[in-house]
This record gives sequence, structure tokens and C-alpha cells, in this order.
Amino acid sequence: MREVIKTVGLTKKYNGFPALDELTLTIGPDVCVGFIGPNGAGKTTTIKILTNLIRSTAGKAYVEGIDIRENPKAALMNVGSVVEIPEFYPYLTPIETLDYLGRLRGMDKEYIRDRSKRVLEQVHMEEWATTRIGKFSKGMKQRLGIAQALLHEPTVLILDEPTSGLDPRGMIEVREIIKDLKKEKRTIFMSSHLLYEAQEVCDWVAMVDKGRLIYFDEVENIGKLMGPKKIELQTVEDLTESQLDTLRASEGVAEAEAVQPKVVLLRFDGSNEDRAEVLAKLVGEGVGVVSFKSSGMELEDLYMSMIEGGR
Amino acid sequence: MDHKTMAPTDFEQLVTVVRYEIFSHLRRRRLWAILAIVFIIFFLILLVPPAYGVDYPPEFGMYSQVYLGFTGILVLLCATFFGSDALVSEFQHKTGFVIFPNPVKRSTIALGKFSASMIASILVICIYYGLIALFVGGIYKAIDAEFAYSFLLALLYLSSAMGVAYLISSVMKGTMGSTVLTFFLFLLILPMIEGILSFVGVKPWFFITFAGGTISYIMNVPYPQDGSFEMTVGGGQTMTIYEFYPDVWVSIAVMLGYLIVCLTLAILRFNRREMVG
Repeated sequence: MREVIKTVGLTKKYNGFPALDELTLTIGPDVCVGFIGPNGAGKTTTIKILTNLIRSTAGKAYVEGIDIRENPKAALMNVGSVVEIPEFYPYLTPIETLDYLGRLRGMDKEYIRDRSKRVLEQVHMEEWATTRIGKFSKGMKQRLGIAQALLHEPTVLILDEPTSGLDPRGMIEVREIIKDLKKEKRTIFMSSHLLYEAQEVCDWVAMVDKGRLIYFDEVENIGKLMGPKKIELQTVEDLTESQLDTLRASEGVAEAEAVQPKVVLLRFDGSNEDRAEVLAKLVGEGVGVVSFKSSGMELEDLYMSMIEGGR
Repeated sequence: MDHKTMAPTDFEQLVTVVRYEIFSHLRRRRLWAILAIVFIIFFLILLVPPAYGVDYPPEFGMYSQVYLGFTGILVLLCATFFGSDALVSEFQHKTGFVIFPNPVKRSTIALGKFSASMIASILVICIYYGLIALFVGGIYKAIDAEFAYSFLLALLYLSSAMGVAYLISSVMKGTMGSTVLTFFLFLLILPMIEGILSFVGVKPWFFITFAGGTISYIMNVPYPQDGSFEMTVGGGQTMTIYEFYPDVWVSIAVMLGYLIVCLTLAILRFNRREMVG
């Protein structure tokens, strides 16, 4: 397998305190990896090392097999990145900023012009293209940060909490942009403290805590690891004991417990067909079902069990 | 051309950085501010003497020396305005988060910024010397050869002062501290130490500001020599007063030394400095 991003024993200490502790991680091509963990876990430190903003104390970091510390110019050629809330030269406009960054990357004038127009449209910033950035809000700078990361059509995208600082609409739009980029065969490595975001957008999840990698697998495997899902059932009236017993006897239902008036929590390890069957049975018995939905997220459950377990 | 794999050369990137840094000096109006100061200084010195009925000095050299005494101030302003915050601002204002992850060496960025600062500053010095040559030269219908030497020494002093400003910028945490330190270092701190050393009879030849004195002293023919004299103070006591003048060749070496050492250290520090926070 081609190793697009690789860290080997990556360690970073600040005044002796390990922000990263021998992190070893290999990311293949054309996948979107969510990099999650609590505050201070080492997410941004890893991203800063991968983008040559800081140096590791020990260990190696590679992009497309090129050591970032030894040859950052070559390693970063096909990388687009957004780290923290990006700040730009306030006296430049987005068009001028993109021209500057494009020229640094060796893009020709026409290519920069075409791509600038395209990426500013992509992040809905086209009407601000010739306004000085000094007047921009945090969210606008974040959008421009994403635009500059996409300017040169990089094969690798490294994003540090890309929806941070955006309003809810902006967050949704950025997630949609990332989903679109996934279709274009790129490797995306994005940190996030929003677990639902990582689960919604990414194919893989890498979880760090105290500078160490504690979990790395495909998102679809999390369910298998976590066992039964939780389903919350809300009804018009409280379920009778016999109705609860019927529920407990249904295929896939491991446990059913009334947790609040008119609310029953099911632990469910059956298939989607089994789930549909349970719902049909309830409706068939005349139960007024208000809602029948997954409670919480698998990734959230995994996160809580792994992070809290490690505390 | 395949844009994804063809990295530009360091020189091409340097030109890009220079271009945008000069653009920034123009946009931020600092260049215009210094040029305004140049014109104010120039025309004050030109117009105030006749306004008070004072005749111009008899020779070009004497009059131009009055002007050249202000070159040090212009160099100080250029170093402060164009150099003192050039490197530190990338860290303090966090613009480095956008610039540094690009495939460009930090040394290229630092050299590009330095070149742009120098271009803007040289423009200021050229305009100042150009005005002197045009108007003062016009009054006396002649320009001394020493004026050209003074110009070259001014450019060298400017380069070395800019090197010091860049070194300060590379180590300081904030732009304000860097700007204030650069300004007062050249305006107060170094001249004050120079004065104290001279007072005790030590020639401060190794000070950049002392070496910068050659810019105006070079207009004197013959070049002034060091000396001392006894002065009677209260109670009949005498004290020795020393007069030191920078040797031209030693000063050239000192200024070159400051430029090379300070700029090298600034680039090394900029290369190693981490983008934290």
C-alpha cells in the first residue's frame, strides 16, 4: 500500500512535557481520516509537525515517503493545509493572497486565476474576492483558509478542525466540501473535536489521548467493536409490562428498559431488517410510536469508553 | 507544465516574496510616511536659513554635511519601519500558519523580506541624496566626490542597521517590543554607551552607530583625526576630553560584520523558530 502520510515514533516535548508520545500512524491513499481526541491530546501538535510548523523532538514524519524535516519543500508540494484559524496579511485581498501563494507553489498566472475563481466559489467567498482581508470575520478567514488549501489541487489535505469558527451553516457547507473532495480521490487527514463530524465525514478514525494513538480503524468497524446499539423509543402512552416483554423477546433486542415515562431504551444488536421488524410489531400492536431512533453515536460511545477508560 | 510536481526554484520564490513584501510596504503606507519625512527634513534645512536671513555655507561640502547628519535618523526610521517587525509578525499575527506550510524554505522567506526592506529603504536614501544633489548641488553648481562616498557609506550603514533590526525581529516575541527596541537601540542606547566609552577614553570603533558617523565625516577634507584636549573644570582641576572619529576602512569592516553576522543569525533563528500558540 502506498503510504501517503506516515509517522514513526513521533514525539514532541514542550519543556520536558510530552505533547506527543511515540505516535506511529500510517495513512493510505484516497481515504479521509478523522483525527480525534480530547484537548491537549496531541492532534494539533501532530498536524503542525506534518506541515513543518514545528519540529519533532524524536521520530519521523513523512508525506508521500518524503521526510518533512529533511526536505520540507518536496514533502509539502502536494499538500494543502489549514492549521488553526488561519490569519492572512490584512492588507491583501483574497485574490492577491491566492496569487501570492500560487506563485510560491509555481503555478502560472492563468492557472492561478482560474483556480482562485473556482475555490472562492467553492467556499462562497466570490463576492469578497477583492476586499481586503483585514475586514474579514473569523468564519470568512476560515473559508479563505480552506480556499487556499485547495488552490493547487493537492492530493493530500491536512485540516486542523476545519469547521472551527464557522456558524452552523458554514459548518455544514465545509463538511459538504470535504465530502465532495473525497469523491476526487484525495487523502484527507482532519482533526476534529466534533465526533459526529468525524463519523459523518470520515472513512477512518484515529483516536489519540495523552499523545498516544489509542485507536485506528475504519468507521464502519466501530459498530462491531461497540456491540449493541442504543435505540430510544418514545411512545404516546407508557408501554405495559406485557408490551415490554414482547419487545424483549423480539429478534435483535438484547435489553429493553423504561428509563423515563413514555421512553424506553433498547440495546439492539440485530440487523436493520430486525430493527424494521421490531418497529412494525410495535405499530401492529397499536403502540403509538412518536420516535424510534438511535440514541447517541457509536463513535461517541467508543470515545467515551477509550478516553474515559484511560483516565 | 505540471503544476503539481514542478516546484519553483528558491530564486523564483524569493522574487515572489520580494514582490509581495514591497507591495505590503506600499499598501501599509509606511513608505509614504518616510518619504514625507524625507521631504520635510530636506525642505526645512533648505528654506529655514534664508527665511531667517542666514546665508548658506560657502561650500557644498559644508552645507551637505548638515543634511548628511540626518541620514542616520532616516536609516533608523527605515530599519524600524521596514525591518523591525518583518519576521516576528509572522509568529505574533499567526500569518505563518498560512505561509510556512507552503513548499518554500523559511530562509527564502526571510531573505525575500530582507531584500524588500532594503529596496524600500534604498529608495528613501536615493531620494534624499537625489534631492541634496539636485537642490544643494544646484546652489553651488558643483558636487564633491566625497558626496558619492557618503552615499555608498549610507547604503552600507542602512544594510547593517537592517541586519540588526532583522535579528531583533527574529528573537522578540511581539512586534511592539521589536519596534521599540530597534528604535531606541539606534537612537539612545548605542549612542549613550558610545558617549560613555569616549568619555573614559575608549574609542567605540566597534559600534555600528559610531561607524555610521562616517556618512557625514567623509565630507570633511582632510578627514578629521582623533584627538584630546585638557579642560579646566571647577576647583582648578583639569579633565581630558577625547574626540574620536571613525576610521573609514575600519567602519566599513564593522558595518559589513554587523550585516553578515546579524542577518545570518536572524535567518537561523527564523528557520528554527516554532509556530506555537
